Amino acid sequence: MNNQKFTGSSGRYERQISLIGSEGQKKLNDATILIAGAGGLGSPAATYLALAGIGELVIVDDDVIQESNLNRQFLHATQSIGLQKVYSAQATLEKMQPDVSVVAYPKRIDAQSANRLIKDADLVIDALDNYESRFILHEAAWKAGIPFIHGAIEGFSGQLTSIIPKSSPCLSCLIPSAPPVGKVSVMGATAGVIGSMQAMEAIKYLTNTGSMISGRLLIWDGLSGRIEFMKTEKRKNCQVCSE
Amino acid sequence: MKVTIRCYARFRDAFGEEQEREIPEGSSIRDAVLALAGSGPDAELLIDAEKNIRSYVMVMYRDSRIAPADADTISLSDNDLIILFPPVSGG
Repeated sequence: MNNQKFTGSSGRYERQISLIGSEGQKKLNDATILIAGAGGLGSPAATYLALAGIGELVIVDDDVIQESNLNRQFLHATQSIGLQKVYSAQATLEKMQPDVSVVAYPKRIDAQSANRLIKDADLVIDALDNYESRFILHEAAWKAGIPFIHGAIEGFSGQLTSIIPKSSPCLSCLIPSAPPVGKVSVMGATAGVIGSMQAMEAIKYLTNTGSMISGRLLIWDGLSGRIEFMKTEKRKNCQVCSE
Repeated sequence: MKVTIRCYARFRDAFGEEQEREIPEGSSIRDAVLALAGSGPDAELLIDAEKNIRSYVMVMYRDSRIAPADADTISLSDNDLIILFPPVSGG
């Protein structure tokens, strides 16, 4: 947990304090969130969490910015092509929201780094682009008892669920094996929808507001405008969460 | 009897958004998915060489996830809806 700047008097948060109260705002300011991925999902998630007044964002990504990222990854500008995404994200967020502390890790997630990154986090945003890293980070978060807000996108579709250790099925119950990998096309607004929902889930969890999308998978289809909720259950003999 | 199968993401690209299929009374979820998959080149997106639903396919029936391995054990009723979704991976 972080302990900084919020005094309850800032006009910046006036329109949301009326929703979550000063106590809720302080909880956001005291929180440290790990954002895994500074790409399509990471851009809206990190932006809305920073603007909401999260005290510390730890952003991890080992990728550099390419031109093909720019239809959706709005933390990065054209002149940043070739730079590490985490540093570009850090600069953009700190300029946008001086209250937030942004820590940048230009590293790939593996078993060792996952445990280290999870250690000080109150919550994890899964804005990754592959299941190998997702499964590693998710298992570390599950074992540490830290909520893991999963999101993923492709084309005009996205999925989201909030995994709350000890109360919901885990990611491996939901997705026992990774789907086939191919080149992923994506419309930028798809990332905007799902990444924004991930930020909303984090805010709800930290302020104990509303009910989480947990124990169910949200499936969002932009082409039809449909949203489906699929109930999920613990899988027998799950290697991650079976006791 | 008639069942409706709704597809999302790349399953929609291959099989269309919503398809109706006439299948015999007592047919299972697996039977309906086989009827949708047909024998064209896209069938392998949904089913393997043994005609089982691939393990990564998310099958939703009456708001719940049905494990592909259990799809043969659930009998459908007239006008049932099945939803098929491939877990997406991008970020």
